[in-house]
Amino acid sequence: MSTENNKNTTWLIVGALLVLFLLGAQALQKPKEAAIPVTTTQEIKTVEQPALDSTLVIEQELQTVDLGDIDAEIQTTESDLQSL
Amino acid sequence: MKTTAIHITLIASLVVSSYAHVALAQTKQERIAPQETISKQKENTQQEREAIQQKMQKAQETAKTKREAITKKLKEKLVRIKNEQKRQTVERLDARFTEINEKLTLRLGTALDRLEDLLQKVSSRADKAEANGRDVALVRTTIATAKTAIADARSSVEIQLTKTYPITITTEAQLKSAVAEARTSLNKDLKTLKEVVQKAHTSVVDATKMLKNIPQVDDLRTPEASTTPATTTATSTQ
Repeated sequence: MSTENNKNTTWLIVGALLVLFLLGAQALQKPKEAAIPVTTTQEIKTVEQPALDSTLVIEQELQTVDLGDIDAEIQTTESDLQSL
Repeated sequence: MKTTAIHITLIASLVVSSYAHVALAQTKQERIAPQETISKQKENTQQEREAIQQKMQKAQETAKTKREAITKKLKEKLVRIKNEQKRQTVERLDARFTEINEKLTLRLGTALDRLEDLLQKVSSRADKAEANGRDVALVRTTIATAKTAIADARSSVEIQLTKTYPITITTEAQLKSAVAEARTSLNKDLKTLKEVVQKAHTSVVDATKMLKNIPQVDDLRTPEASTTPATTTATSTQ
């Protein structure tokens, strides 16, 4: 009877350890899942997407909008005009 | 007892793994949904852009026809000028004025494309803010103002593309002033156009500033993202 009890206790401990192991594995898996997007092309796009419409990016892009230099272009005709 | 322990272990494992799968699937769906919305917006912009391109091409063709007639007239009048070098210079400057007008006007058109793209980003960010319960009324107003400013500038670009700057030749002595007059006219028109585009640029800057006033606006995400795929699935199974 005592041997039977010991066996059951051992099985219970093994079971409990297995559950704990699975919970631990699950906890470790979460950070790995979070890292997946950075490693694949598809996920990189979706992770970067929100940053593209951030106010910081918009402001930076607004500063680089080129409206052209009219005076510089007009100036290129100056020598021809003066030669007339 | 042993069987019970095994059963408990198996049930616990099943619960843990199914929870993990559900959590992972939800996270993926949340990432995919905004991508779909952005793609739709891009498609609409692409269609509008194509329509604008067609208008611009039409304006360029109109201008080309007008210019051909003007160049013909200019050549006829240049016969009066005895100095061959001066004749060539006037012809070169006439062509150059056309070139400058086209180059700078098209560049301003490209700038408007970029401003439109940036305004769409402001709008997209405002959508996210609104979905998160933020008040975006003022941002919407500035976006509407910017849209009008861009549309006005677009019309001005189209008009500018159809413009020509004919050199009115009378005598050889007045040749320089005639060319200078055409050049001044071109310079003035291009500067006016640039001011109109600059106004559109300022209006997009204003919309961005207004958006920036919303606390933590850059950290907000679309909450509807997780519900969108569920709706899609329900429709497809019918």
